[in-house]
Amino acid sequence: MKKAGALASALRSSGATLPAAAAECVASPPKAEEAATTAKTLQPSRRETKAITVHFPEEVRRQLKALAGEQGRHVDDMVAEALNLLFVKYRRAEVAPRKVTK
Amino acid sequence: MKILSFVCQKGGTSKTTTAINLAVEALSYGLEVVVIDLDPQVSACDWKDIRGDASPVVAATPVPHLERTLKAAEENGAELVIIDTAGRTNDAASAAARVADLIFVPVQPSLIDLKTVGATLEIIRLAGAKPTRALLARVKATGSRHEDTTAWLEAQGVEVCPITLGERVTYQDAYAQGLGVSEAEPSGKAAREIQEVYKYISMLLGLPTTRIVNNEEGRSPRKRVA
Repeated sequence: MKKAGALASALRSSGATLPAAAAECVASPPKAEEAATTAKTLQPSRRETKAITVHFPEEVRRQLKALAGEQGRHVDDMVAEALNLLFVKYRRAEVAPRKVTK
Repeated sequence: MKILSFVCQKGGTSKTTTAINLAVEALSYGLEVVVIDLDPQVSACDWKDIRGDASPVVAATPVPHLERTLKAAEENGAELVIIDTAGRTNDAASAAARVADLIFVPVQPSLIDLKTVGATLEIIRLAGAKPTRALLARVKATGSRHEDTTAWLEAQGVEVCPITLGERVTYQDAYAQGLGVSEAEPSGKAAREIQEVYKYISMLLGLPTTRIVNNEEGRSPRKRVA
């Protein structure tokens, strides 16, 4: 089996157009560049984060959003506060970052 | 070298999504995979732009150059070529169907999709009636529309892949990161159904069925295991 680089070169020679990243495949582009390209596709506030999805009854969601509204804060910030309280209870680092107030 | 073509005259039926995810899945079986993008929107190429240097190779080629590109791929070690086409592009669909060893027709279980199946099947028939399977994609978690759709397709004489692909955000999230679902969420439902579709295809095309262990970079398979 030949290397993918040779394959990519052969396909280019056949008249095919390879995406820029594939063209750079032969030269092995730095990983940081790849990560930056990936990051561009995400909303700025979501870069270097992962979603945590949980399901609760509708009233929990409503009350959480109302509380955030009363406090003038993001829901994410309220949840981060709750998670940090939980982490303290179980002697873990308070790693949930807080968001700036709306 | 085996060629799997995705053809459907309706857009948005998960042709590209399925093509790139099967390509990634095939990598884990040690195959040298090439995705050929005949879609003018070059969605597979856009995914490759995000993905960077990791396999598979993705190439956009004009339809008249398709056979030349396939020849170059075969001569340079490609073992599986997956061709992605756009909806409503007869030239690309015909060319992809003509060169294929197996044609997949992704269909959503909806009336509007089924209306285009006849036109797609006609293109496939004119291109030489290669082995064809419908693949139900974006199937909702509830309801039995997919069962009704399968029954309808089978009544039209269309063979239907026994595995369906669900409507899952994992597919969108993986695409946005330049990943396959089996990389983005290896234990998720999307990864599982893609694995099952690969196994089905491997049975039809005689592809390897033994997975290999990924190397330290996580995406380039090296070592075969039982």
